[in-house]
Amino acid sequence: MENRVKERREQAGWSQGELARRLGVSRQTINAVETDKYDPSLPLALRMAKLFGQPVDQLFLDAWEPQE
Amino acid sequence: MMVETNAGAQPAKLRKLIFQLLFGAICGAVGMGGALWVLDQQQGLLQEPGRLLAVGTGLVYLLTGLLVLAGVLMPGFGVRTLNVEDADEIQEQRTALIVGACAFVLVALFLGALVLAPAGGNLFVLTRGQSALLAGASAVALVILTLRYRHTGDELKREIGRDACSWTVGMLFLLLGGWGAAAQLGYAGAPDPLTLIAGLFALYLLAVFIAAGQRGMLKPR
Repeated sequence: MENRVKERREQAGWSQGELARRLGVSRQTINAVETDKYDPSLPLALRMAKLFGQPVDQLFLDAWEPQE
Repeated sequence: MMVETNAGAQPAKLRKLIFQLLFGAICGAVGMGGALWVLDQQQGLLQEPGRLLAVGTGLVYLLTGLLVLAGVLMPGFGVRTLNVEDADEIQEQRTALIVGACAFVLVALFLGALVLAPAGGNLFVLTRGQSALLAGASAVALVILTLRYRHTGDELKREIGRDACSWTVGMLFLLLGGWGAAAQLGYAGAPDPLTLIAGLFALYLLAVFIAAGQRGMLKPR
Protein backbone atom coordinates (compact mmCIF):
# COMPACT_ATOMS: atom_id res chain seq x y z
CA MET A 1 0.00 0.00 0.00
CA GLU A 2 1.32 3.40 -0.94
CA ASN A 3 2.22 5.53 2.05
CA ARG A 4 3.86 8.77 3.10
CA VAL A 5 5.89 7.41 5.99
CA LYS A 6 9.28 8.23 4.46
CA GLU A 7 8.15 11.75 3.60
CA ARG A 8 6.86 12.39 7.10
CA ARG A 9 9.93 10.83 8.70
CA GLU A 10 12.27 13.02 6.70
CA GLN A 11 10.18 16.07 7.55
CA ALA A 12 10.62 15.20 11.20
CA GLY A 13 14.38 14.89 10.64
CA TRP A 14 14.52 11.31 11.86
CA SER A 15 16.57 8.44 10.53
CA GLN A 16 14.92 5.04 10.01
CA GLY A 17 16.68 3.91 13.18
CA GLU A 18 15.25 6.79 15.18
CA LEU A 19 11.70 6.17 13.95
CA ALA A 20 12.11 2.45 14.63
CA ARG A 21 13.26 3.21 18.17
CA ARG A 22 10.28 5.50 18.80
CA LEU A 23 7.85 2.88 17.52
CA GLY A 24 9.53 -0.10 19.15
CA VAL A 25 10.15 -2.00 15.91
CA SER A 26 13.22 -2.85 13.85
CA ARG A 27 14.75 -0.61 11.20
CA GLN A 28 14.00 -3.33 8.69
CA THR A 29 10.31 -2.94 9.44
CA ILE A 30 10.46 0.80 8.78
CA ASN A 31 12.44 0.17 5.60
CA ALA A 32 9.93 -2.45 4.41
CA VAL A 33 6.97 -0.13 5.10
CA GLU A 34 8.60 2.82 3.34
CA THR A 35 9.40 0.74 0.27
CA ASP A 36 5.85 -0.67 0.11
CA LYS A 37 7.08 -4.19 0.81
CA TYR A 38 5.08 -4.53 3.98
CA ASP A 39 1.78 -3.12 5.21
CA PRO A 40 2.04 -2.58 8.96
CA SER A 41 -0.44 -4.02 11.39
CA LEU A 42 -3.31 -1.78 12.48
CA PRO A 43 -1.72 -1.06 15.90
CA LEU A 44 1.57 -0.02 14.26
CA ALA A 45 -0.23 2.10 11.66
CA LEU A 46 -2.16 3.84 14.43
CA ARG A 47 1.05 4.44 16.37
CA MET A 48 2.68 5.92 13.28
CA ALA A 49 -0.28 8.19 12.69
CA LYS A 50 -0.20 9.30 16.32
CA LEU A 51 3.53 9.94 16.16
CA PHE A 52 3.27 12.05 13.01
CA GLY A 53 0.09 13.78 14.20
CA GLN A 54 -1.89 12.69 11.13
CA PRO A 55 -4.96 10.54 10.47
CA VAL A 56 -4.12 7.04 9.27
CA ASP A 57 -5.81 7.61 5.90
CA GLN A 58 -3.47 10.50 5.19
CA LEU A 59 -0.42 8.42 6.01
CA PHE A 60 -1.52 5.26 4.18
CA LEU A 61 -3.21 5.85 0.86
CA ASP A 62 -5.89 3.52 -0.43
CA ALA A 63 -7.67 4.23 -3.71
CA TRP A 64 -10.56 1.91 -2.90
CA GLU A 65 -14.02 3.51 -2.75
CA PRO A 66 -17.26 1.79 -1.72
CA GLN A 67 -19.53 0.97 -4.65
CA GLU A 68 -23.11 2.23 -4.85
CA MET B 1 19.35 11.99 15.11
CA MET B 2 19.24 13.38 11.58
CA VAL B 3 18.21 11.64 8.40
CA GLU B 4 21.02 9.86 6.59
CA THR B 5 22.15 11.15 3.19
CA ASN B 6 22.49 8.93 0.15
CA ALA B 7 25.53 10.68 -1.34
CA GLY B 8 28.20 8.10 -2.00
CA ALA B 9 26.05 5.34 -0.52
CA GLN B 10 25.59 3.36 -3.74
CA PRO B 11 29.30 2.55 -4.40
CA ALA B 12 29.70 1.61 -0.72
CA LYS B 13 26.65 -0.68 -0.94
CA LEU B 14 28.05 -2.27 -4.10
CA ARG B 15 31.45 -2.84 -2.45
CA LYS B 16 29.73 -4.39 0.56
CA LEU B 17 27.59 -6.64 -1.66
CA ILE B 18 30.65 -7.84 -3.61
CA PHE B 19 32.50 -8.52 -0.35
CA GLN B 20 29.51 -10.44 1.05
CA LEU B 21 29.16 -12.54 -2.11
CA LEU B 22 32.87 -13.32 -2.29
CA PHE B 23 33.13 -14.07 1.40
CA GLY B 24 30.07 -16.32 1.30
CA ALA B 25 31.32 -18.13 -1.79
CA ILE B 26 34.76 -18.75 -0.26
CA CYS B 27 33.32 -19.94 3.07
CA GLY B 28 30.82 -22.18 1.27
CA ALA B 29 33.41 -23.64 -1.07
CA VAL B 30 35.94 -24.31 1.71
CA GLY B 31 33.26 -25.75 4.02
CA MET B 32 31.65 -27.98 1.39
CA GLY B 33 35.03 -29.05 0.01
CA GLY B 34 36.26 -29.96 3.49
CA ALA B 35 33.10 -31.86 4.37
CA LEU B 36 33.12 -33.80 1.11
CA TRP B 37 36.79 -34.65 1.61
CA VAL B 38 36.02 -36.03 5.08
CA LEU B 39 33.04 -37.99 3.79
CA ASP B 40 35.09 -39.28 0.87
CA GLN B 41 37.33 -41.05 3.37
CA GLN B 42 34.35 -43.23 4.29
CA GLN B 43 33.63 -45.74 1.60
CA GLY B 44 30.28 -45.50 -0.08
CA LEU B 45 28.86 -42.58 1.87
CA LEU B 46 29.13 -40.10 -0.96
CA GLN B 47 26.93 -42.35 -3.07
CA GLU B 48 23.99 -41.68 -0.77
CA PRO B 49 22.02 -38.66 -2.07
CA GLY B 50 20.29 -38.10 1.26
CA ARG B 51 23.60 -37.87 3.08
CA LEU B 52 24.97 -35.43 0.50
CA LEU B 53 21.85 -33.28 0.78
CA ALA B 54 22.12 -33.34 4.57
CA VAL B 55 25.79 -32.36 4.42
CA GLY B 56 25.09 -29.46 2.06
CA THR B 57 22.07 -28.24 4.00
CA GLY B 58 23.77 -28.65 7.37
CA LEU B 59 26.79 -26.71 6.18
CA VAL B 60 24.68 -23.80 4.96
CA TYR B 61 22.97 -23.68 8.36
CA LEU B 62 26.27 -24.03 10.23
CA LEU B 63 28.18 -21.41 8.23
CA THR B 64 25.28 -18.96 8.33
CA GLY B 65 24.87 -19.39 12.07
CA LEU B 66 28.58 -19.03 12.77
CA LEU B 67 28.90 -15.97 10.51
CA VAL B 68 25.99 -14.26 12.23
CA LEU B 69 27.41 -15.10 15.66
CA ALA B 70 30.81 -13.75 14.61
CA GLY B 71 29.11 -10.64 13.27
CA VAL B 72 27.35 -10.02 16.57
CA LEU B 73 30.46 -10.64 18.66
CA MET B 74 32.62 -8.52 16.33
CA PRO B 75 30.36 -5.68 15.11
CA GLY B 76 33.11 -4.31 12.85
CA PHE B 77 33.09 -7.62 11.01
CA GLY B 78 29.31 -7.86 11.21
CA VAL B 79 28.80 -4.53 9.48
CA ARG B 80 30.70 -5.90 6.48
CA THR B 81 29.12 -9.34 6.37
CA LEU B 82 25.54 -8.89 7.61
CA ASN B 83 22.81 -6.94 5.85
CA VAL B 84 22.71 -4.10 8.37
CA GLU B 85 23.26 -0.36 8.08
CA ASP B 86 25.72 0.01 10.92
CA ALA B 87 27.03 -1.47 14.16
CA ASP B 88 24.18 0.12 16.11
CA GLU B 89 21.67 -2.00 14.20
CA ILE B 90 23.57 -5.12 15.20
CA GLN B 91 23.30 -4.01 18.82
CA GLU B 92 19.56 -3.30 18.41
CA GLN B 93 18.99 -6.76 16.93
CA ARG B 94 21.51 -8.53 19.14
CA THR B 95 19.10 -10.94 20.88
CA ALA B 96 17.23 -11.86 17.71
CA LEU B 97 20.49 -12.40 15.82
CA ILE B 98 22.03 -14.56 18.54
CA VAL B 99 18.87 -16.67 18.93
CA GLY B 100 18.59 -17.14 15.17
CA ALA B 101 22.27 -18.01 14.85
CA CYS B 102 22.08 -20.54 17.71
CA ALA B 103 18.99 -22.11 16.13
CA PHE B 104 20.87 -22.48 12.84
CA VAL B 105 23.85 -24.11 14.58
CA LEU B 106 21.48 -26.51 16.40
CA VAL B 107 19.89 -27.51 13.09
CA ALA B 108 23.38 -28.12 11.71
CA LEU B 109 24.25 -30.27 14.75
CA PHE B 110 21.02 -32.24 14.34
CA LEU B 111 21.72 -32.91 10.67
CA GLY B 112 25.39 -33.57 11.40
CA ALA B 113 24.50 -36.20 14.00
CA LEU B 114 22.34 -37.99 11.45
CA VAL B 115 24.98 -37.73 8.72
CA LEU B 116 27.66 -39.18 10.99
CA ALA B 117 25.43 -42.06 12.10
CA PRO B 118 26.11 -45.60 10.96
CA ALA B 119 24.45 -46.35 7.63
CA GLY B 120 23.76 -49.93 6.71
CA GLY B 121 26.95 -51.87 7.24
CA ASN B 122 29.18 -48.80 7.34
CA LEU B 123 30.37 -47.81 10.77
CA PHE B 124 31.07 -44.13 10.78
CA VAL B 125 32.35 -41.57 13.25
CA LEU B 126 29.53 -41.95 15.77
CA THR B 127 27.73 -45.01 17.07
CA ARG B 128 23.97 -45.24 16.65
CA GLY B 129 23.48 -44.32 20.31
CA GLN B 130 25.81 -41.33 20.14
CA SER B 131 24.06 -40.07 17.01
CA ALA B 132 20.67 -40.46 18.64
CA LEU B 133 21.87 -38.62 21.75
CA LEU B 134 23.37 -35.71 19.80
CA ALA B 135 20.41 -35.45 17.41
CA GLY B 136 17.94 -35.68 20.29
CA ALA B 137 19.75 -33.10 22.42
CA SER B 138 19.98 -30.72 19.45
CA ALA B 139 16.29 -31.14 18.66
CA VAL B 140 15.23 -30.59 22.28
CA ALA B 141 17.48 -27.52 22.57
CA LEU B 142 16.06 -26.18 19.30
CA VAL B 143 12.48 -26.60 20.52
CA ILE B 144 13.27 -24.96 23.89
CA LEU B 145 15.08 -22.07 22.20
CA THR B 146 12.24 -21.56 19.74
CA LEU B 147 9.58 -21.59 22.44
CA ARG B 148 11.56 -19.43 24.87
CA TYR B 149 12.28 -16.71 22.31
CA ARG B 150 9.20 -17.06 20.08
CA HIS B 151 8.20 -13.47 20.81
CA THR B 152 11.63 -12.04 20.02
CA GLY B 153 11.53 -9.82 16.98
CA ASP B 154 8.87 -7.47 15.77
CA GLU B 155 5.81 -7.90 13.56
CA LEU B 156 7.78 -7.97 10.29
CA LYS B 157 9.85 -10.88 11.54
CA ARG B 158 6.71 -12.75 12.60
CA GLU B 159 5.12 -12.05 9.23
CA ILE B 160 8.19 -13.41 7.44
CA GLY B 161 8.05 -16.50 9.66
CA ARG B 162 4.40 -17.07 8.67
CA ASP B 163 5.19 -16.50 4.98
CA ALA B 164 8.14 -18.90 5.17
CA CYS B 165 5.98 -21.61 6.75
CA SER B 166 3.38 -21.09 4.06
CA TRP B 167 6.00 -21.37 1.30
CA THR B 168 7.47 -24.46 2.95
CA VAL B 169 4.12 -26.24 3.08
CA GLY B 170 3.38 -25.33 -0.54
CA MET B 171 6.75 -26.63 -1.72
CA LEU B 172 6.39 -29.75 0.41
CA PHE B 173 3.05 -30.59 -1.20
CA LEU B 174 4.53 -30.04 -4.63
CA LEU B 175 7.86 -31.84 -4.21
CA LEU B 176 7.01 -34.50 -1.68
CA GLY B 177 3.56 -35.08 -3.16
CA GLY B 178 5.03 -35.30 -6.64
CA TRP B 179 7.83 -37.61 -5.51
CA GLY B 180 5.40 -39.78 -3.55
CA ALA B 181 3.06 -40.03 -6.52
CA ALA B 182 5.94 -40.92 -8.84
CA ALA B 183 7.14 -43.55 -6.34
CA GLN B 184 3.64 -45.00 -6.01
CA LEU B 185 3.46 -45.34 -9.78
CA GLY B 186 6.88 -46.94 -9.93
CA TYR B 187 8.59 -44.09 -11.77
CA ALA B 188 10.92 -43.24 -8.86
CA GLY B 189 12.27 -44.79 -5.70
CA ALA B 190 10.74 -43.76 -2.38
CA PRO B 191 12.69 -41.03 -0.57
CA ASP B 192 14.95 -42.24 2.21
CA PRO B 193 14.55 -40.79 5.75
CA LEU B 194 17.63 -38.56 5.60
CA THR B 195 16.51 -37.06 2.29
CA LEU B 196 13.15 -36.26 3.85
CA ILE B 197 14.66 -34.62 6.93
CA ALA B 198 17.38 -32.70 5.10
CA GLY B 199 14.93 -31.75 2.35
CA LEU B 200 12.54 -30.30 4.92
CA PHE B 201 15.24 -28.07 6.40
CA ALA B 202 16.52 -27.13 2.94
CA LEU B 203 13.03 -26.16 1.80
CA TYR B 204 12.45 -24.10 4.94
CA LEU B 205 15.74 -22.26 4.37
CA LEU B 206 14.75 -21.57 0.78
CA ALA B 207 11.32 -20.43 1.95
CA VAL B 208 12.87 -17.99 4.45
CA PHE B 209 14.99 -16.47 1.67
CA ILE B 210 11.93 -16.15 -0.57
CA ALA B 211 9.83 -14.58 2.18
CA ALA B 212 12.61 -12.21 3.23
CA GLY B 213 13.24 -11.26 -0.39
CA GLN B 214 9.56 -10.48 -0.92
CA ARG B 215 9.78 -7.99 1.96
CA GLY B 216 12.88 -6.34 0.50
CA MET B 217 15.16 -7.67 3.23
CA LEU B 218 17.76 -9.09 0.85
CA LYS B 219 18.28 -5.71 -0.81
CA PRO B 220 21.76 -4.35 0.04
CA ARG B 221 21.62 -1.75 2.79
